[in-house]
Amino acid sequence: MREEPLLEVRGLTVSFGGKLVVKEVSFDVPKDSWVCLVGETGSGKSLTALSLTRLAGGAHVEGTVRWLDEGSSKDLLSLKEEPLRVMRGRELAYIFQDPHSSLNPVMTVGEQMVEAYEAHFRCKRSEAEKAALISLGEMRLEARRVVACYPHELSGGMKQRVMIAMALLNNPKLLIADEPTTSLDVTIEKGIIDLLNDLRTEWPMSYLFITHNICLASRVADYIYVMKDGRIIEKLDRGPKGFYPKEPYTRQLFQAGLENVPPKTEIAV
Amino acid sequence: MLLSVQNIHKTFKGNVQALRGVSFELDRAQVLGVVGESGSGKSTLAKIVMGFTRPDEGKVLLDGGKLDRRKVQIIFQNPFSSLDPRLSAGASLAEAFRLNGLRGAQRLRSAVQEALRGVDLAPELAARFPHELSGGECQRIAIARSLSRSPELLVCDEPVSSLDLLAQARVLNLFLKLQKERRISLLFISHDLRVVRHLCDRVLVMKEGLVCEEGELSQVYAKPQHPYTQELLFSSGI
Repeated sequence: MREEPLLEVRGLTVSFGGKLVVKEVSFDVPKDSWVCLVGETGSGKSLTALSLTRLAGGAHVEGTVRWLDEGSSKDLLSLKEEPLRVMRGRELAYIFQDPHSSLNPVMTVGEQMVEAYEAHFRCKRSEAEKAALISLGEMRLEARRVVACYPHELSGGMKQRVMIAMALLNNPKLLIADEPTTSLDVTIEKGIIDLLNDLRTEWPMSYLFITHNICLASRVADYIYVMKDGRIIEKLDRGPKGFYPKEPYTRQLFQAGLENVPPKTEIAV
Repeated sequence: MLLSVQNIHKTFKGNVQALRGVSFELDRAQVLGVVGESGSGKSTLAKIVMGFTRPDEGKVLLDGGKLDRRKVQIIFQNPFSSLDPRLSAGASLAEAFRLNGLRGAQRLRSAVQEALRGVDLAPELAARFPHELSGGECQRIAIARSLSRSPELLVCDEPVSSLDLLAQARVLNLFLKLQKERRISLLFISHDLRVVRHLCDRVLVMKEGLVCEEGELSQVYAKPQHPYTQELLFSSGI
């Protein structure tokens, strides 16, 4: 199968005051694919994700981030601020690790979602409210109850579902998720991952999923890019039985995820 | 048997029943994993074992007698907030040794160096402040500090949950070493069933303040009896 690219990142380099943090990073997100960016703390994976749409404050960004859609192509890094703002949230959306700090504590879920919808579409309030209800329902939430809730009235898992509902409100083609399940319990994490999996079968959509957990990545991804010290050191394609890392560092990451490590033995890291 | 926890009940304000009759025992040099979702009462249990919180009912016995703070130490989830941000790692450790009765600058210095080596950290790290250390390094300093009292029991409340996988693996290696070499018992609270499988001899599954399953780790993992245990294992891909 030949895959059409949706996002093509070439030579992305990010620096702060001359200090290189992301170095010559290149990767593709094909249409309707799940791509994972894996690395340990400080490897530059989150900064890479933010820099794609110039969201990294104070950073100097070089390279190209090509968005290919409906026969047209544009470089997000050289786009003017206003068209880029329109693209964020509409064509591509972000969710982050801590849903609590992404939500406004003094607004109900419904008010925030209406605001997010109205930022992109001129419409009647009732239409925005309807869109919010539909989107929450698709996240398997009790939409009518949740719209009236303030963030503190929801659990961590519910808040992350609300964030996904908000991100998908405008049917973006790419969802960039930065460690969206890291602060959640395993059962809640499983629920969110299953939900993301289901959503992808219902709508054509790609995910760029950022995680430190390569075992989680290997359960969901079509492609894994491994980052270390600001560089991509290995790209893994899903084979018939999963992923076959060649780089010793990537193998260490799998070891650290306790995949096939005998209990009570030293982990080779 | 080192630790015996007998029929602990604890209710907080607003009639929140955090623990509703929890009992278990822990042998010397054994690792007991406590698993369960957020709000299942795991951390309240840790605080009661440490003597930070009084239970409404039930008791905690160490070596058959009253709790001795010197023999029990705790490791928390967030290593940065466990260390004094104004003290270097070396000063934090030296303070712990001083409180333990060790005197003399030279002796303290060598105790600190040895403590750092004991947790696989380079001696140079003594000069660093918490904000200059990674999460994994901070956590190992916190462990080194708790070891300064030669505890018999370490209560670990989600000690690796805020670390990435490589840092987590190094701390797990350290726990295994401590258990083998120093014969320390661990009460290891975690929501990560893979980590628990790697480290623990026995496991206690908690839900809504009750123990819903307890047993030898290999048995519980191979044949979980309670539906909640089955769900946890399934969610973890085990």
